[in-house]
Amino acid sequence: MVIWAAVGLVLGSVAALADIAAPAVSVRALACLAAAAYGLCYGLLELSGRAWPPPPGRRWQVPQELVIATGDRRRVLIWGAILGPGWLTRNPYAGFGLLPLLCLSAGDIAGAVVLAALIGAAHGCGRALALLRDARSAPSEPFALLLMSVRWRTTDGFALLLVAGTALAVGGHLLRSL
Amino acid sequence: MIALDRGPVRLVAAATAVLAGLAVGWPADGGFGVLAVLAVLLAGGNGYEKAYSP
Repeated sequence: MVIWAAVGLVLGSVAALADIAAPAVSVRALACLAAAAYGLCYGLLELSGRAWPPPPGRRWQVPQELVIATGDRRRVLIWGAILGPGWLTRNPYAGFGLLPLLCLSAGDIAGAVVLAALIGAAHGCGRALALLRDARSAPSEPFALLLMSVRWRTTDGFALLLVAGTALAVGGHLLRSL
Repeated sequence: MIALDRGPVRLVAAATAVLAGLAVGWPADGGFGVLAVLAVLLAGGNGYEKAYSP
């Protein structure tokens, strides 16, 4: 949440500075349209089942020994700083890349910080819920895991298209009101 | 149950998702609230589904 709030502060500051430098250009509208374009492209890609181009992001994964054979304090640090925020580790779903664009479309610093903090809290809670679910059930077989991943990719594609439609409508309104 | 793995059905479902997004976003009249709520839901879902990444 703190890391995401910091990202929101940076993105909100960029939007505010761009608004000062070029008042005729609406950063909010541009960010909404960029989010719509991203959502449409990657939403259709995820629904089509194509793997290329991959969603933007890193490929690194936290080594298991860093999480399993370590003390509580270090484990909390890894969860709070790496796994919860989701910036440093591999994420095969394109939905994550849309989130910074949506923060930018808040248009002001306070809005971007609040939204980014809420996004960070939601992402971290989602990861924690998935961990609790995994802890209660037996580990899935590799093929079942792969099948579930394909289904989640489809779900992510639909979510991206839904958000893209909304961003298109909001961006269109903002452009008309310029 | 609708077979979403069939190409034409998936295409119609994709178009419906975009239209639903437009229908949700249009009444907002440029307001950011709806988009913010969707962003938070997307973030929560993304965090959850990431557990299924092979």
